Amino acid sequence: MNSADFKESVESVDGHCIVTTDVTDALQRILTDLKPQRIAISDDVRVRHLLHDVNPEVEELGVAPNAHDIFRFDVGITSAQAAIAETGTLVLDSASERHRLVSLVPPVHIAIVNASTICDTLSDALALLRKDKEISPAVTFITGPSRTADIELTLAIGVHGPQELYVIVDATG
Amino acid sequence: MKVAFFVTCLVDQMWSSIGVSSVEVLRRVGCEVEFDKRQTCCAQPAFNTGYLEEARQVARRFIQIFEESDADAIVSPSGSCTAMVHHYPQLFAGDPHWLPRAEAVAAKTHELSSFLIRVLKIEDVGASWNGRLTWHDACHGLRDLNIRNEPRTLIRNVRGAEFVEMDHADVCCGFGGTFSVKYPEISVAILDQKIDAIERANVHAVVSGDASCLMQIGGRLSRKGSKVRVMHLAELLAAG
Amino acid sequence: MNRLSSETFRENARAALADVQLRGALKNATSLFGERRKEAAASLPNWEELRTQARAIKDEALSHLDQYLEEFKRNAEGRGAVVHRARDAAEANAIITKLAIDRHAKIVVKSKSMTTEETHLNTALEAAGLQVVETDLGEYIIQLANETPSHIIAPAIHKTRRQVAELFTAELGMPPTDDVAQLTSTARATLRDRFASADVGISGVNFAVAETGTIVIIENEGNIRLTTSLPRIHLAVMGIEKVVPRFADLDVFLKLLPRSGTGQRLTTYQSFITGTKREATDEGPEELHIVLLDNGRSRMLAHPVTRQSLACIRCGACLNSCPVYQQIGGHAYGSVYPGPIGAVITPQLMGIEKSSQLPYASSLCGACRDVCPVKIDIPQLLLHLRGEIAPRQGSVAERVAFKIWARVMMSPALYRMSSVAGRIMQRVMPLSRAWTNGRDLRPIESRSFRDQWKDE
Repeated sequence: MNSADFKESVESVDGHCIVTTDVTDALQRILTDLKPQRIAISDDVRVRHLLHDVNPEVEELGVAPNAHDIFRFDVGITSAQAAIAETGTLVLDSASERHRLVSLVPPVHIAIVNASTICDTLSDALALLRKDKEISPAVTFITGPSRTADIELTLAIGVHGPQELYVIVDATG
Repeated sequence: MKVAFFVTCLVDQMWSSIGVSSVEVLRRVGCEVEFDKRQTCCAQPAFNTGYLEEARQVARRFIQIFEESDADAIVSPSGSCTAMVHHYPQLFAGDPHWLPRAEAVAAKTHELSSFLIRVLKIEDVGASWNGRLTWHDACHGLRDLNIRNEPRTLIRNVRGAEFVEMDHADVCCGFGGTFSVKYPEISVAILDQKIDAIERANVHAVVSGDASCLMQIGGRLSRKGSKVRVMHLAELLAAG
Repeated sequence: MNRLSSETFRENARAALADVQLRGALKNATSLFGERRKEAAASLPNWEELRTQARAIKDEALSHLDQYLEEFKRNAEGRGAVVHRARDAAEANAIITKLAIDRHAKIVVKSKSMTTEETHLNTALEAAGLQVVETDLGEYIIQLANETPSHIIAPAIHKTRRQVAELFTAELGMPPTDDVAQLTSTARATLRDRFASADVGISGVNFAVAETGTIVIIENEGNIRLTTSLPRIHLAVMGIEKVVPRFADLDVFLKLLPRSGTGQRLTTYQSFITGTKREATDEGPEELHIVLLDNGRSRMLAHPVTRQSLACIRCGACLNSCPVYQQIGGHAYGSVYPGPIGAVITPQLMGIEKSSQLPYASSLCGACRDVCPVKIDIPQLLLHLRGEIAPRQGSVAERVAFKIWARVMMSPALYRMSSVAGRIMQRVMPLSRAWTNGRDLRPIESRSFRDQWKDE
């Protein structure tokens, strides 16, 4: 139920969303389509394993590259700690993963999120951030690819952040 | 029901037929109408321009005159002047002598269409008028007094009249009291949007609840040689 | 730089009205924003309730502002941020400039911040030899054009794509194009270089949470994330009114702000930043400095009527709804904050002497009050300010006229006589000419209502 709503919301803000029981296969397909030369991934263990399984043919695979190196990558792959169904939002928590730059600088961001972590509403997600713990130094909500309408209010996708956003929802997770 | 009629200085001096029509309608629906000739202005011009002392002076006089009346209600053919009376408590905030008196007079003061519908519960005053017409929401009636459906209900019940909702009926006509002469170019630029909407509605008449808006709209229609006439709701309701 | 002044509002407005291209752009923008806001508000069944809640939260924060600011400072500093307090624009600019110079910064990237527009921070930083790059696309365009923002959330709303293309061709050497996507990608490529080499990132703040020391910044483009993630130092500048008591309060504001501003359910990015990173090897800046700016806000706070001005969350909805703004746009106001809210806060921030025309630049229609997500009674504030201005700064003729007016209205006999005089006056009064340039004037009738009155 949540996954379907979430998918619909992500698509309504120009993101792609795949709900699957086979995340490896979904990622494989996306990467086959995109054919990136350089992939940056976060330091998340699961993302590393996934990349190992998919084993794409690339010139470079960087793990959480620093602010200097990150600019040369074509695709960034991270997981997300939670999501919001009503808005199609990913919740990235810096305490769990080094994904601040990988999710931001490359032109394509691919995020993997477990279906069980999808909240219904914005209110639920905000409550979750405060629950039983100190709030992390950087929490980022992401709803669709980067956009602007600063020139004649004409929508342009991908001005500073990613031009494309893929979300893979692990239905088993 | 006994009604003290508050004609407003603008209607009194510039557009007396609105006053005459209002009284006719009120009498037709069974009200006993009295008119105190000592009344002048509600103080809005001074209040809106920032001359609060002068505004208080004139407002106090209004309160004195109307609290002497034993009428059940004070009724006015203007949303704007009615709203001004409703602002009196704000003008006398912190004044223990005048605040309760201001509140009492404000509570009794009604704009014509809302008085007919909300107080008297009358939706059809038996008017008839042949032609297509549209309604312009005067800002203070709409936003200060929340009058939106009342005039539309009354208009829809006028026999022979075809009501057309124009685009952006609830957008200001650009009058704004002293604004219309302090910044006449901006006022007319705003007005032209209203004129365009009226012309697109393809009507014979535009009706509103405030003489000030009608002077603004009518002044531009006339300057442009338009055939559309402006009419106060009271004039429409008295017709036929 | 061609900066207009509030003192010449009348002339600025006339020039704006004569600018056909500007008026076309304004019409498109304000009606589009207006419709989107309306749809977005209608999509939430409890919109009115949210507005009431938001205002109650702001009122609570404002009535104990010092306490909440102290709590915010304590919590932010507990997490490694440094909080500075600046009494005025000069002090804020001095603090920021010194921080940048002390760290040998050369390039500063900035994300959109109305507060730094208010302090004219860029001028101060440039005077200190720093290169300042605005990174919000709209702000970048107007920085290249050497102009000022004309709308709170869409700074370059007044420019056409052709004008932007000509600017990019002249300033960036881009081949001429009318394609917005291409213009956008040119800006992206140019600004990436700056992000890569910047030492300091300066951002604004939308909300500051007292109980956690968190600052929240919202956007669509991603430049705020880049500004606050890449450089070694992050400086955030905020007015003292941005503080909210609890983290949970964000829920209401994150629902109201994007819907009121652009009609979005949520903007693309919300960054919740709480202090600095925990480990040296973590991502993000090494230092976070937060500058709390007063600059006249304590004055607004002190008065029960003007206090509500500080509830503003800078969504821009009142601009889009205002019939005056719709016709003349933002530049004519000659102030950093334009439109209805600008006409209210500019005189309070800058002093009523220099902006006495602004509170009169309104027909008091009240459309702004209807759309305000925090229910600020802007017409009431405009009237309050007019009440301050008129007795002190009104022209002698106007003050005398209202004295006479009051005398006339106090006496039915004088009132009656003046209506006779009015028929003659109508032809000679300058007031009438201001009217009749665009409109015919309805002649005063030969018989007033009172002359026709008969008791039943």
